[in-house]
Amino acid sequence: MPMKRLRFSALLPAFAAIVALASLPAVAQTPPPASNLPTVSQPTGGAVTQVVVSGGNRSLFKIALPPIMGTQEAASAVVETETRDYNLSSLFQVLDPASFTANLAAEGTGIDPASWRNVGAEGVVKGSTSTRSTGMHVELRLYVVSRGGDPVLKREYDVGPTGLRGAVHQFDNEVVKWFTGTAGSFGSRLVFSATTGRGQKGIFTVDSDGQGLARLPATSNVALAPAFGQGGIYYAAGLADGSYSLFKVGSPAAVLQRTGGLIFGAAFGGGKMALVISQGGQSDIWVGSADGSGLTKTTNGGLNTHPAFGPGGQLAYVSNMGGNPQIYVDGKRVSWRGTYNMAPAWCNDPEGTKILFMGRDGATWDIFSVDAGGSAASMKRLTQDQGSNTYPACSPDGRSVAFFSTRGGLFTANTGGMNQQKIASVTGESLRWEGN
Amino acid sequence: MNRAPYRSNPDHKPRPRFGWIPGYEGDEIAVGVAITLAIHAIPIAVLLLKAAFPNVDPKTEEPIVTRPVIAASLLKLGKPFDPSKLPDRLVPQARTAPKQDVLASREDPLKKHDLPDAGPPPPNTKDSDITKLIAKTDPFAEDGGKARPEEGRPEGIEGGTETDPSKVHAGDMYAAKLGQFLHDRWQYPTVISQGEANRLCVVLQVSVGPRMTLWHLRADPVKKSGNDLFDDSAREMLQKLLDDHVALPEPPDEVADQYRGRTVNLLLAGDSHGDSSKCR
Repeated sequence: MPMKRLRFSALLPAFAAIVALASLPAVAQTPPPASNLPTVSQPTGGAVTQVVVSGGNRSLFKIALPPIMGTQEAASAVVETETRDYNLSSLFQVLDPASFTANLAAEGTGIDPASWRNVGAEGVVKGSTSTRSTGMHVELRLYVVSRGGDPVLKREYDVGPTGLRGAVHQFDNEVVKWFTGTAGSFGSRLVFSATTGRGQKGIFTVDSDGQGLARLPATSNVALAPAFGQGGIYYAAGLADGSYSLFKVGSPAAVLQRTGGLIFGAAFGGGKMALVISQGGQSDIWVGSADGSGLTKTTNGGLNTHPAFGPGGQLAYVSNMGGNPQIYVDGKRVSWRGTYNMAPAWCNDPEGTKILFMGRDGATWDIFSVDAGGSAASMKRLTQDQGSNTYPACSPDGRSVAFFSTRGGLFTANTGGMNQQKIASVTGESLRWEGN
Repeated sequence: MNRAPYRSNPDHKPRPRFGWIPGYEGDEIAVGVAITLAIHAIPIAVLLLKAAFPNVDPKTEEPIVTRPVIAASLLKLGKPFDPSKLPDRLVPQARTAPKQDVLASREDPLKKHDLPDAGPPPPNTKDSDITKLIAKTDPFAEDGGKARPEEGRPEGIEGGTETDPSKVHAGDMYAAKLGQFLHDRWQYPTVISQGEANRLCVVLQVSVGPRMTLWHLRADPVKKSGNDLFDDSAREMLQKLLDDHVALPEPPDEVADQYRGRTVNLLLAGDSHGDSSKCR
């Protein structure tokens, strides 16, 4: 009997070991106590590692502009205008039509997304024109390839014989709005003054895509500093008696004269007018109502020129009150680098309001921008080693900058100074962009 | 020689060599049966239990713990900020440049054709199949011009982003490297302004294999940015890495557990300074 008990008890550890082995997986899956939770470098089985990827690269949205349906002449005009607009916008890359593989005849005004995806297109603009008794009917559609075969934007226009380009600009502005939330500035105008002969200056207008360059009628052969104001374009003109007064294009009579003072330029904005009035060897900025009433001097002598109103009615101008000509906003200096900065222009950039200006660097001028707050670190250079670049102006949507360059013409770029494109072979000064 | 059978000789008592008694008692048989049952039945029972009650595993009831990795913030290599001098223009010196498709105005009432020309225009894109295959392009890159040092600090490093030493902070260098790796491959369209991009962040979830390649990309974002084009661009980048079996940078041993064979949430923020607060 004792022998039997011994043998049975000897089997008990083996039994316990087997039971323990059988239950081993359950023990291993038991989570560790909270106090022993692993650190970041030793996460638990359920933890998800979280990594921040900041700021990717920006690439142009690739857009295809196949021929639209209709007469050859109208179709060419539409595609040409679209191409120019999208290229100048700094938002799109227009694809080479030679790369298109889609069956355009079968597609009509629709698209087969796969055909366009294969050639790298992210967007397609299609359309048609047809002749009507009063002019032309234009239908334009925007497709976003990733959204399938239905247009995301569709517009129709009835235009006169000369209104085709305007309709396309309008559609292109809508396209920009569809993508960005704010419309583009295609179809807007710029004005500037330029030398027309010895001691003579005239004022000119040009469309924002470089088309339609034309000289505007002026009262005098010395017409300066044009500016968009209430109901038209205003300019300063030198008269035969040596005085300078403010005129409006199309009106032979002076809008504003100043006895004992010479009006060398004007700016309009926020329901106000600012004038540059030279008197006694001093040049000051005067501000009053848009009709010229209630003018008050806002500067204290010295050299004060180039007024420009900001989106909130702020007044930027050039002053040498600190010794060198610098940019000031409502009496506060905002250009803190360089020794000679002038010709400020406000830019309602979607990424923050900026002030553009030209700064002298040695023997040449270049275009700069600074945040409206005026911190020295926010000052950016838009041109360098590209000739002399002067008189910046900003588009109403704040996405484009225009300026003159000794490279031979009027250029546009984005607000970073990239995508510089010559739009017209003309140079001048005092450039202003309609709507800004 | 006559051999007596073992059992037939009552005088012969063989010496027991070990305590073995043939035959089993009832309790011994019971123990044996119990052991046999235990060996076979317990694992089967565990499996059946798991199949019948999949949620009884306490681990699966735990919420997924997200463990953010604090990426290092690196000082940018460059020249110190000099307020007395005009800033330089910074031009991307990349492999492509935009085509000069836009025509100048055909009208010129001033007839200034004798003006000095702009000189040779920026060269057209030097397209090649290889160049096209390289994802990283800058739409406004220019081949010409000088490569000027950007404003930064001489003690900074290539790939650094912070120009202010006071904003640099320590962190996981591998996370910074991984973030840069993905940043270099991610392109979102310019129709999204930088200002808008600064407000966007999309969270995508990937599973990383043991060889640091992606083997799964969750179909829907963990959190959308609110801008479909932005989300699509981030997703396309990761899908391409997955399709091409591109391996992520090898993590050092001390942090490999966080990445290798794990699920990783990627917070893709448009803000170039790494502000991912919009992802929260």
